[in-house]
Amino acid sequence: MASVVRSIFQSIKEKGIGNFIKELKQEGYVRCLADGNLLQTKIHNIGATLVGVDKFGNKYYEKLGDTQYGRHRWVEYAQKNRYNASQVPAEWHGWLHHVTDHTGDELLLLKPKRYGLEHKENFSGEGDAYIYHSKGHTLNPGQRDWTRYQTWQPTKKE
Amino acid sequence: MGLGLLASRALRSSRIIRNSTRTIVSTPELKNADAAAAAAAADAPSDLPKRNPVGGARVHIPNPDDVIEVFVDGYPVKIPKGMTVLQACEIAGVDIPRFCYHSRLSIAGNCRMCLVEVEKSPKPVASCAMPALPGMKIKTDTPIAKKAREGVMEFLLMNHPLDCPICDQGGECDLQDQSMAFGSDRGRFTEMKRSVVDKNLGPLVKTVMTRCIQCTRCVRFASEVAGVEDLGMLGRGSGEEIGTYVEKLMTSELSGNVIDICPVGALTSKPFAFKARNWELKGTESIDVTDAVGSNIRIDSRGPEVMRVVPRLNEDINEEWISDKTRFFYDGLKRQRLNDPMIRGADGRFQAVSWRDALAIVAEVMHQIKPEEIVGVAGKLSDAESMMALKDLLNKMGSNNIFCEGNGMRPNADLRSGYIMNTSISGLEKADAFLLVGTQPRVEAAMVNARIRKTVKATNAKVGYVGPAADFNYDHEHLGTDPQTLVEIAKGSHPFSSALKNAKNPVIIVGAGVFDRDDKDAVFAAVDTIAKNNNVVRPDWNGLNVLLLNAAQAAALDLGLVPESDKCIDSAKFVYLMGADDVNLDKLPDDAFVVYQGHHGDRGVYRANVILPASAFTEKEGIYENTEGCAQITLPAVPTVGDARDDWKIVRALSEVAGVGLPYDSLGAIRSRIKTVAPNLLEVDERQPATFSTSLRPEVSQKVSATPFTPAVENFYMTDAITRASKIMAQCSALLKK
Amino acid sequence: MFGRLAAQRLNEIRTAIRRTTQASRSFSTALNYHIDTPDNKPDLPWEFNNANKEKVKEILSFYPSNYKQSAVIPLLDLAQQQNGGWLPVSAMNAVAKVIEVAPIRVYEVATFYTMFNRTKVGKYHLLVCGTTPCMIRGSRGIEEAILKHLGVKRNEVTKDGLFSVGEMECMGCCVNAPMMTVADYSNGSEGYAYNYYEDLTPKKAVEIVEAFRKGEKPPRGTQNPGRVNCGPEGGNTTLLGEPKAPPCRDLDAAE
Repeated sequence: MASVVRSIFQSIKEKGIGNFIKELKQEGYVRCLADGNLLQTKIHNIGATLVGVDKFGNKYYEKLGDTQYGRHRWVEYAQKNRYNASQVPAEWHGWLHHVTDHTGDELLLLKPKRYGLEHKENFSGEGDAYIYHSKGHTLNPGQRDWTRYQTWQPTKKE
Repeated sequence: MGLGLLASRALRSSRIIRNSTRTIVSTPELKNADAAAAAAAADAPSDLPKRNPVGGARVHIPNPDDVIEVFVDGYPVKIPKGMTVLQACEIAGVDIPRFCYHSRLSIAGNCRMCLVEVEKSPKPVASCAMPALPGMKIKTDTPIAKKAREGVMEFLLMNHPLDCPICDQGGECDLQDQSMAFGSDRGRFTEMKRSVVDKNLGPLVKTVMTRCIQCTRCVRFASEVAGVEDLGMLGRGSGEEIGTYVEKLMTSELSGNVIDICPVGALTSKPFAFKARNWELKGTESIDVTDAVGSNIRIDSRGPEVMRVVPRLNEDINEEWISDKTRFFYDGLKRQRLNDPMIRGADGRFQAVSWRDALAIVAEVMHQIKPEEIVGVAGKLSDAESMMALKDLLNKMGSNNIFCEGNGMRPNADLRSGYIMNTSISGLEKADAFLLVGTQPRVEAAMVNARIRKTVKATNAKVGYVGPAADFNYDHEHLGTDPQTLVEIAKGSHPFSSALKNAKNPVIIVGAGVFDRDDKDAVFAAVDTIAKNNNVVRPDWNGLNVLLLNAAQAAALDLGLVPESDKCIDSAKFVYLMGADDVNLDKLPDDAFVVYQGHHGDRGVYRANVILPASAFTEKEGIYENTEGCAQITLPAVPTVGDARDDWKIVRALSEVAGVGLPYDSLGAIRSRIKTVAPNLLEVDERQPATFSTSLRPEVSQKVSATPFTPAVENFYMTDAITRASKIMAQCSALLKK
Repeated sequence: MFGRLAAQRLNEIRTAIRRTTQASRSFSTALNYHIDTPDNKPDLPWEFNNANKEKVKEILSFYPSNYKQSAVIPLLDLAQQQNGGWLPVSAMNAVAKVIEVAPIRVYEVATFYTMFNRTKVGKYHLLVCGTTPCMIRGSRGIEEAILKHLGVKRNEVTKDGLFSVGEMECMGCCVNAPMMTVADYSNGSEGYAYNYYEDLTPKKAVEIVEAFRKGEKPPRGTQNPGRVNCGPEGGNTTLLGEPKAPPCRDLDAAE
């Protein structure tokens, strides 16, 4: 604990009190006071290794040793106010859920084609929900043509 | 036997098929051989439950002295001498699993799947090749028989790929069905499976030869029924394969049938490949209209699409085969369709309009024209109902100029025996001499040709042919190319006349192409003389036949579609084409108003002023009479396209708009109207023989001309609007044209 | 990454399988279907020569006139002798024409019998017996020796067109195993010979091949000078004396 306090004072000394408070806000430490989840994560982060940061700024931590196995990987979301699990992009998903030991950065090195679509978080209930329309649905832009015959075209004249 | 085949057997005796179960399942008490014997001994035969023959198999006992009795699982059956054990079992109601045996082909006995136990025989016997002997005690459900079949099945599956999920035969595969009963749940075969190079048999038959189990059904079919010796069994042992050795397309008009007889997925339909699964399809029992034979077909459809056409069993017409045209024309039903009523505008372009406008214009024009200048032409594919309606409409308008294309301008509709096949198609099998006049049955009516070939093969019947050089798949004598030859035969000066004279049941077949000849009456008179001189028409035998070309012809003549004047087209001002595409409109005056009612944008459309879209035969119920005078009904398999309507309904609606309303509003009502004209058309599925013979024909003074006969069908694969629209048929005629 | 690993593993498995599975037995000519080559096409002309036309007539006369197709095997054999030991498609077609059947019926026969070669063979077609008794007595070594000497693979023709080597099943010479047959097509159907060479050693086999190359016709039969035909080496060891009379009842004595 003492080291934590010491490091706080050191960074105040380096950046000045104004900058320090600004950073506290940005890093969500202020938010911690109201959000127990975030506080828990922040406390967890102490002593953990930062494995990587994805393109959205989500930070992925891992701590082996004194943590319970299965709880040794976690994410700190970039957004401190509204965060949810769908913000984790595909390449990090596998690492985070112990599907693979390859981190998202390693997977991105392979330039996989199957993540062709840009990752988009789930906006359900916020007005931008993704609704699947079947192939025959009018709202599906690629709506299938159910006409199973070709008509005679009266254009050509014998 | 495939499920499809079984289903097709349900033709007339659908009751029988529903009762008979496919018994591969063994009854538990019969599993124990001793118990079975005891049960058989204890039960008097009369106590045994009545069993129904498999698939409605019928026993025909030609000679009552030659009856023997055998016991199948203790159940006594009486069968004629010479039947095989397998046939005896079928009559006893036991379906023996089989691959190589096919009732219409010779017996090969090489699949060994039909092994049964016969008492006092040291080994299980192959029932398909074993003649039944008097008092034979056959056991089909014993552990020995089951074990033997399981062994055979294991060997068959040894080299069979496990690709049922990607195999088109899946769901209607004999091997799949029978492995459910006799297959093991695991394999003991650890070596590599063999693989065989696929063969290219043309645009219709897809081959995956690795799936082949060497039953040789296709080889036997090709050489025995189709008459093209292309396929053979090559190699030996495990390297044995079916093939043509040198690459050769299968140039037979019956090649599609190998798809049906193949018990596995080695030969499948190329156009149908990966299109649908057979359990998704809805079967509609219908009639083929692409030629005058009226083959019985099942139209398999999925939603609004016809997916494939397969034959139905009809012993009297097509047995269980159909021609390639019948089987593969169906993609033409989806192309070049007319779906909106259209009117040709002042600029010569068609514009889609509503039915109300189209009919109003037609009615208006029709009233402005003098009645004798109105001409109606029924097309090749018209059903009896619509031809009746059209004739009634034109008669009400005051015109009597209506005819059906293909019948010529001076058809003789007075004597029914003068335009139908009096011998009947199945009756051809009794014949022992054929005289073909101006007809090439192989392209005009492939199923009739198959019958003639069957007869020629069985009885060595002599075939004489008068007509242009043609392709036959049986031995024949080409007697000449013009009608003069007929006169020679009639006089008895031709060498072939002695063959006719010596024949017990001579048959003369005149092609319908003769109808279009100017000297048609003289030709028919010459044929009549030949018939008279050679005793062709007798009380017990009528061998004088006309082989028609189109499905509509016979019904049109029955309904009296005969034009008042044979020059009516030349002076016509209003022509109503009801699906008529092959009628010659060159002489039609330029100011004539042409209405085309039909389902395909084919030749007839280009001259039309108004197009009325109609439904194709797969989309409506209609009566068609085939060339032997058997009326049959098509049933709607798929919905019509766009705004199209049934032919007779369009004519009925037009009559209403024109103010000459026809007195029928339903199919039933129009059929009662037909009943007053041609009652035989309502005797569906029953052949109605002609009552009077042609001897009543008036004297003809006309002389035969020296013009040679011309082929009536130029391209077997493209004869009507639907087949001309078909891509598969176009491919066939490019690759296989005969 | 995993893909690569999996592929590697798969390859291992494949090679393992390949090693254990025996290569399919190659009979005289392998394929059961025809592939057009410049010297083997259906449209090449082929006819029996005049001398053989007489033979064809003679062969056909053995069979009833309505069963001409029975002559298919002798005729194919004749055609093969005439054509230097192999049957091109056009020869099979010619045979089909003679016996008036569809060509496919002839192809069926020709593909069934392994002694009809449907690809080119050498003027001397050497067929080494590979069946058990010969194999035990070292037929594999003999085949290897010949192949090595000629520098070809099995069923391959040497560059000079003189030799080809194939394998044959038991030819009934097991007593003098190992053996090979030499089908001699060097003189057409007149000088055609089909001789057995028995009691071979790899060295002896190569000597025979060389003799053929020189145009000699080495004596057929056993190559072991110590044997006469299939008698034991060094003369008979049993049945030396006068054979005993059959053990019959002496009817006279019985009387």
